[in-house]
Amino acid sequence: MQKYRDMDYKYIEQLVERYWQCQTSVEEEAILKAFFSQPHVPVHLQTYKAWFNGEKMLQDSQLGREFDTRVLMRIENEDMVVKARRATWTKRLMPLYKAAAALAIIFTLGNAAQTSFRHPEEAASDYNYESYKDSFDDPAMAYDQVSDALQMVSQSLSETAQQDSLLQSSAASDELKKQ
Amino acid sequence: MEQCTAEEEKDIQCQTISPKMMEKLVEVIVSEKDEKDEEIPAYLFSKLKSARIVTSTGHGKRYFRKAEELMEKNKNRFTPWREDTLAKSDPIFVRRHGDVICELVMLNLAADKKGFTIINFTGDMDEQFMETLSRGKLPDN
Repeated sequence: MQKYRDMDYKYIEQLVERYWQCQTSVEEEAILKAFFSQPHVPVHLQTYKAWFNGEKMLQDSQLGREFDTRVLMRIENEDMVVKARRATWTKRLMPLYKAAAALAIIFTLGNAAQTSFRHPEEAASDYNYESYKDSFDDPAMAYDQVSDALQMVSQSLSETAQQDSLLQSSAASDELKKQ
Repeated sequence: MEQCTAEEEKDIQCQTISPKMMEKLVEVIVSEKDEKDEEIPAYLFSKLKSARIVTSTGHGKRYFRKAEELMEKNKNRFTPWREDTLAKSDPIFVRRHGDVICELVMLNLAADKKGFTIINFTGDMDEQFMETLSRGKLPDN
């Protein structure tokens, strides 16, 4: 230490200058580190002290025993919490069940929406009219056919109505006779 | 009623009037309305969407029974037009959607028990339609 104290500070300044220009050798850098590690450094060179002592400070700074103890305690605590559990098939397949349930809900809601938004006429007519093949090309012939069918239905309906009124009046007169 | 078996049975004929033809038919009736005063009211045709007429010249009684069985089997779909009727004429079945009849089926067995006819109408047949038909006396062609 004493020898550095006697050293010409000019030399150190030159070394520092060369250090920043990356021109110093390994030995010269060792000299700089040794110089700045001494307790008494001239005021105008104090600014470099932290730089050249930094490495040493890093080497000196160590984690205490307390740190190791705390980390070990923490690991032990975590070990106590984590327990091995046997996963059953039900639990393993739970995501699958959830996906299936979600799909079922989507389909049900979709179906319900479709049914409620369907036009009443569409709902009433569930025939595939596209498959209908006309028996007639001429509308006049089709007209005759439909007219005949309407006549038959009309005749049947009117006969039913007439028979009903006759039967009802006869039943009513029978009732009157009994009284 | 949806499938005709005319190809399987030689004595059965099925005549179909599709919705498209029915539309044409109504157009023709409306355009010729003034010329034919005695025709069946266009109103009746306008209420129909399609028609199918199945006729059989033989085995009428068997077909009639079979048709009645089918109607009974599909009683959730078709109901008799008049459930309280005392008369025993040609049975008419209807399929309703709300107040409207969307399908009408009539079974007719000929007097000789050989001929058999099924009339099947689809459309939106309301009370007025049925009343007009029930009054009878539709003009002949």
